[in-house]
Amino acid sequence: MSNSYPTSTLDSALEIPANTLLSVRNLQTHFFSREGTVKAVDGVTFDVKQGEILGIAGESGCGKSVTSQSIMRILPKNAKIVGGEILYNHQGQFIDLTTVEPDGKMIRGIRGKEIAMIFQEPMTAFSPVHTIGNQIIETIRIHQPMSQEEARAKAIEMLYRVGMPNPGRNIDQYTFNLSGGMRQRAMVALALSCQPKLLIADEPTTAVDVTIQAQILRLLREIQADLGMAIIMITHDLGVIAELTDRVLIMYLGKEVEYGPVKNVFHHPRHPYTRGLLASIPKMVPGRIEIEPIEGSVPSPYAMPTGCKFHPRCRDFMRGVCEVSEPPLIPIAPGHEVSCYLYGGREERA
Amino acid sequence: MTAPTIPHGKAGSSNERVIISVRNLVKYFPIEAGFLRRQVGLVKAVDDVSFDLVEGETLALVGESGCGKTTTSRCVIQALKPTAGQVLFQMDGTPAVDLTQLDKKALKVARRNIRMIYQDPYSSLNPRMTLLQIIGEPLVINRAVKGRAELEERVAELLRMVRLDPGAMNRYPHAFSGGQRQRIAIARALSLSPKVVIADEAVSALDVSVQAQILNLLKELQKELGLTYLFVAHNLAVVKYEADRVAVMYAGKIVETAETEALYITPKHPYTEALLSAAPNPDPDTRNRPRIVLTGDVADAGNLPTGCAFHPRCQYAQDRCRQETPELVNVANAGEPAHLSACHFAKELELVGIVATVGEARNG
Amino acid sequence: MAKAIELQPSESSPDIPLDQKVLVASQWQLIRWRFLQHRLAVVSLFVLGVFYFAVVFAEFVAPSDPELFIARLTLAPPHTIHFTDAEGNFTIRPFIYRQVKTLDKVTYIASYTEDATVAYPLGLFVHGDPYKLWGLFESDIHLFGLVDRGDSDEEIRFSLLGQDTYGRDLFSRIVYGTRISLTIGLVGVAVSFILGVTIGGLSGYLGGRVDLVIQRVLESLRAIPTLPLWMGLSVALPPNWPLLKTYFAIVIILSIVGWTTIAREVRGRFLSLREEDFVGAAELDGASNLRVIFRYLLPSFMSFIIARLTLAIPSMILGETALSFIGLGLQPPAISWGVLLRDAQAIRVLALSPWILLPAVFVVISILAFNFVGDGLRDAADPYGSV
Repeated sequence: MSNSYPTSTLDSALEIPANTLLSVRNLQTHFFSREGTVKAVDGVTFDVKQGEILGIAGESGCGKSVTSQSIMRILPKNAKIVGGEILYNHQGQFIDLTTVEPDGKMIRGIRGKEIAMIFQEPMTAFSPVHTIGNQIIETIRIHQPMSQEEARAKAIEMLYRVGMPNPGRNIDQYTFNLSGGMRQRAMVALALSCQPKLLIADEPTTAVDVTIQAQILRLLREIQADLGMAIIMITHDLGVIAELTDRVLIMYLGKEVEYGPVKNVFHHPRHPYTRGLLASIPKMVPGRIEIEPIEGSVPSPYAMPTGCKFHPRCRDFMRGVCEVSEPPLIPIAPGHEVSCYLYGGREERA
Repeated sequence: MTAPTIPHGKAGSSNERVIISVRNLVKYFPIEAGFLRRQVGLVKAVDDVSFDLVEGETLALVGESGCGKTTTSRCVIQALKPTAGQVLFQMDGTPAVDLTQLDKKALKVARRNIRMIYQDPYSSLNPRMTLLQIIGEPLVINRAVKGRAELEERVAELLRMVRLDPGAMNRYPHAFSGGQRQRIAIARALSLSPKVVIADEAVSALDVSVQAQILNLLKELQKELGLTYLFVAHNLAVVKYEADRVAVMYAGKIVETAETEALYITPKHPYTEALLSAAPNPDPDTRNRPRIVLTGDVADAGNLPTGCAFHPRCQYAQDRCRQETPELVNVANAGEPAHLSACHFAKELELVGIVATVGEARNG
Repeated sequence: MAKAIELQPSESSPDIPLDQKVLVASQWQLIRWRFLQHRLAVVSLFVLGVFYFAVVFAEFVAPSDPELFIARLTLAPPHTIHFTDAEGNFTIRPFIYRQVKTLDKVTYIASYTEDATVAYPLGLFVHGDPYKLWGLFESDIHLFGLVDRGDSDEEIRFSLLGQDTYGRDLFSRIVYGTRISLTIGLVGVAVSFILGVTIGGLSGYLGGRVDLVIQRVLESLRAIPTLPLWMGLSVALPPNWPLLKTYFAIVIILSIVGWTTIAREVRGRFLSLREEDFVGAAELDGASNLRVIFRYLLPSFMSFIIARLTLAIPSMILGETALSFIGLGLQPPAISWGVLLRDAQAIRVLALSPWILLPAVFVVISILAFNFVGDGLRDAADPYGSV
């Protein structure tokens, strides 16, 4: 891990290592509704290097999907990025995606071409009244000058790459004609058709059978190695995180809880929530290991706890400290940070 | 009741009583097309399934989508009427009854002892009824309580059993989270003191940390109340934690049945091997293990391959697999607990299961 | 398949503090709260409340007897309400001047002027024409009108919206008209509801052949064009029938096609609700079919049905108004807004006395009001809406 990682306070100079593709700094995205404001993402900072796989993990309501939607600027109408920066390395220069027009030329030139996205439900990625070929070819031609025949050949090649059986024929199928696994592959092909630098995968295997999931994960690994593409993998499945990612960011209620290399986080989890999560999932190892659930349930986003958002459920809760103010991100090892008062941070709060 | 088809326990142990015996269960759905809805094909959702459920155990039905596990569980409780086959139910001391042959009245009585928990906690509770009404409904319908006071007392007791505050009984489901609603569903299932509970993907829709709470709760309740569980799921890690025995289903048939550890460490069917290999393990150290990645999609029950339904995806397939449908037979050595497999080459193949990891991931 | 349920803000609890109130709130209370947030719907509900008050207490609300005609004041314009008298003094109590009709000798067009010498003060809860409330209770108190008729022996009354071709007070007739115009919709919708829920419910719950047959019948009925059907059936009504009989005949005619829409909606809902887990759980609990229908299925969409019905009422009101307007529905001496509008058919009358069209305004207001209330109800009853 590079040592030129800045500490995660905004005031420090923006020292971004050269091979960083995306740098999200203190991102805050809020939802506004009649009932109140939900701080769906409340100060999240992470980097994605070129060619690396970052996992964003958390349970429902943690804000992981909203983070990816913020990066792609595809937030729903009642949501807004209210703070922070999303610095994207666009041909050597860093541009802040939060300042770009949400539907302007700049972002449309990046979306699909340099940053692509795949979703949980492939049916939502495709138009039901167009063949998958139509859409892949269209995407290719929007971003690259090419004739119809050239684009079609490229599309077939892409489908072949993703393991679609009989790509020459299936390119002309509609999504409802394809099976679940094939739809997923078509969606990956669509996302990769312009060879993006970054692929955001939002729960792509959650709704899929486990054997298909294994296929998709292997496919992602192969393509990532082939193209040198970076991937942000968003999921609640810690097994998938462990299988695929290099670094992982654990989120809880819009906050960044732990961030570091996946081996470190899984073998030496620091944050009580991370520990609780890992202890509560059954493992595929011989013999029986008791699982210990985390007490309580995720609070409503309208009634968030004060101070550290996890404190009502935390075994290591320290009265007078944890409920008073939010803990800062504390580096505990190179590239490994935790947001927890157990590791310091108390001196900074008077 | 006639002797169970599977010998149980270690040799000599006869204190295990079979409470439900499913024999040759079949459920076909017609495929209809055209204006007059003529039948053009059959979806063989459940295709000759047999297994025994031993009193006090947790038997898991595992498989991917379309394998027939949910349909099987619905047929056991007769929520769906089977096309053929028997579901024998025997409580202690009473003669066995075939649930498929019971009339509506008798079935209502039998259903006091076999209850179900559903997957989706948001649609399994009537949003317009209070907890008291929801949990009390089986009690009221079956006249198990006299008067409101007794009803409230029983419901309070059930709520305490599932670790919920009895004072909440006047609230509506929308006031509760997914995990809490599942507890309510469990309380409803337990209201008539049943013997058997069918959990149909009961934890699949819950957050990971809440899943653990419910899994542990189910285990505790099983011990306290002497329940028998039929646990339908697709998550292999959850099944390993919760089940005593596991039956793996594929394309409407059971392909392997064994005690949990035996199945996971020494599987005897290529599909089980592939499933175990594909299941992600939350340990980054095991990510580079040799993986069996199946090609193609899960078999379509409306259009099954000939012979063994798994043969098109099986790396060990031979000609025989295409021609002959394998039977589910016991391939365990003499003296060992039963281990059934529906594979022609179960005894010859050296299949790989889960392995212990180097360096356990439970430090902090 | 496992699906992480990402908690969207709209699904969560409300701004109302998460206290006992919300948690023990029944579905109906929640609906009521949500409804109250729709200002337009609440205002419309209030307007409808006023209208239906007039339905019940028509004799009291109307300043005059609707049949009483003053021949010398045919097509008189509405009285202007004055607050300052001829000398410019302000009076708290409003008053009107006597109207004098002059006939142009050449064109025979009548015109009306005010006679400032004779003033009649207005008041609330005044004595006026005697009446029998609902045919039972005698009284002569009216909501508003002339305080004192003076000692002139000519007929005089306060005419808020003018007089019609026969010299009858238009406003009083409009008020009496509510009784038919606004109730025909309700009765019609009630009939549609009963038919629709029963037949649609049976169709949806039983499924199979029953469903198939009922659906084809429904579709055939719906294929018949509505207005021509109404017109055709109305023509068949004998003109010498008593009012009540004609009234109910019209109701049935209007409902003949209306119920099919409800039936389809109910059937669709039943079909999908039947698959819901909580219905299946109830069946496994041992609930009988009837119990399932009334305790599980119906309550689930009762609120939705009510919203749909509220939106169906306007078309009934329009239907009756239209039929009566063209002479096929109710006939005079029945008073409904459609009948009143028949007077507005003559262009000469319309040009000289535009207030004859005012019943149409009331039709429009009540239809809009029902629509807004229906919208509000539908949004409030939406189970996916926020609390």
